[in-house]
Amino acid sequence: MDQAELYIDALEAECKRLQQQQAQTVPPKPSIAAWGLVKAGKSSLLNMLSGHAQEEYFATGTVRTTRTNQQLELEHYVLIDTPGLGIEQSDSQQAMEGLDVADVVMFVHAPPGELDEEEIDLLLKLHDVHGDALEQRLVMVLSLLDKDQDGAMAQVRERIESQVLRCLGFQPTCVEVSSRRYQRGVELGRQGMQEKSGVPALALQLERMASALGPQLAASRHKRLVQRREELSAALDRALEQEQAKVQAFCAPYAKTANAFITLMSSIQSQFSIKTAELRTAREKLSSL
Amino acid sequence: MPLPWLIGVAAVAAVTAIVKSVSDDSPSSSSSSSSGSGEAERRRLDLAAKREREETNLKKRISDLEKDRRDQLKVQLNSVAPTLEQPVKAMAPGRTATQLEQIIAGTQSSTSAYGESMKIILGADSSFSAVRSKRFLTLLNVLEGLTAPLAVQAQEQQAQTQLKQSAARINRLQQLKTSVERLT
Repeated sequence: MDQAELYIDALEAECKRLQQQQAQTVPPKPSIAAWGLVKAGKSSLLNMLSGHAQEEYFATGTVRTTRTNQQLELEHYVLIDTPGLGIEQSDSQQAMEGLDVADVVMFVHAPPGELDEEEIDLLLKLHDVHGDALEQRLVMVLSLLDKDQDGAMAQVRERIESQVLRCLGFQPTCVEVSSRRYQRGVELGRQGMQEKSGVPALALQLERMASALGPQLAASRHKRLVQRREELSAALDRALEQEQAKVQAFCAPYAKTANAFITLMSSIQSQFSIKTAELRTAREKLSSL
Repeated sequence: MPLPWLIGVAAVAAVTAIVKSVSDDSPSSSSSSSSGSGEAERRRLDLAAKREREETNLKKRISDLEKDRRDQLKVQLNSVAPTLEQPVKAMAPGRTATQLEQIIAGTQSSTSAYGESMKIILGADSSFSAVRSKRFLTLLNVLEGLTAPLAVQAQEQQAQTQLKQSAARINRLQQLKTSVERLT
């Protein structure tokens, strides 16, 4: 399948998402989506945030487990787990759907490394979707804090923050979490361990963001739907123009050939007609004799 | 012979001679009439000969014109097919002058494989008018009538396939556009 077909497939998918989202009744609570690359620890984090530290709600495992968007409604907001990005096209499409309905996005990154090129692209995509409102809707989460054995996390965080600042032009709230430490804290009943995991702080931050969005939620969702519709419409116009230009460019040599043929044949026809007129005159003269 | 009779005969002969000499000078005499009809005959013959000469000349001129017209057409046709990136096609033999005229004045569109292919290609080009497309197909039919139907070359087949794909994509995009407009 060529690039043009793939692009139209993507536009068609967006159109279907818009149709579905417009038709479905959205929950009155803000939706918070965990978004990021495969194996960033999104599902584990959501289990911790939703009180499923010991009995997981969002499936986790050593291989990628989340293939479709999963939702869980909590007291103040709805959590959405999205498939990890960057492996399969269908997973990424699902994740984009999760992003479409998200009012707040938790961008989950698993150090020790900094953000890679793919994650930077994803952040830019987020910026495309939410525009300037992203500042109030994005939380950077650095997961797997327990791997920070040599104390390098502070430096990594600093570098990540400067990457995000360069990419988005603002510095979002950044929270470090360790799902495993939180889980162990729950298992051992140690409050301090749970606090140190960063999960309660993140939950608090999400609650604050959700309640700040509350009054303007319906309006902002509607605005985003309208914006997406306009963007899709403009993208379709551009794609149509490009396709038509391609057809024109493709047909141009044939049109040129046809024009040259018409000119040549018209000239032949015309010269033949002149001789035919002379012949007709001669024949008429002959028959009048 | 007694003298009175001699005088009488002489008198009659004299009168006859006078009458004859007078009648010889008159144009309305019987000998004058026969000479006039000869002249007319001569004139008629002259006219007939002149007409025959004219007829012969005209027939020759017609024949020359027909030959000239046919030869010119033959030469011109040799350069047409290459314009369409087709192999040279010679004029089909055995066409009468009337048949040539009818073919040249034809208004039917080509229905050959090449014609149908070009119809699709030119139809896809929005800058190429329908009138011009019809003109092309009519002239193509003239060419094919004078020579032979043109075959579709690989490049036209490829073009047709690509255009069909493009048309399908445009159709999809237009349907999507309609769906998005309904979302308001």
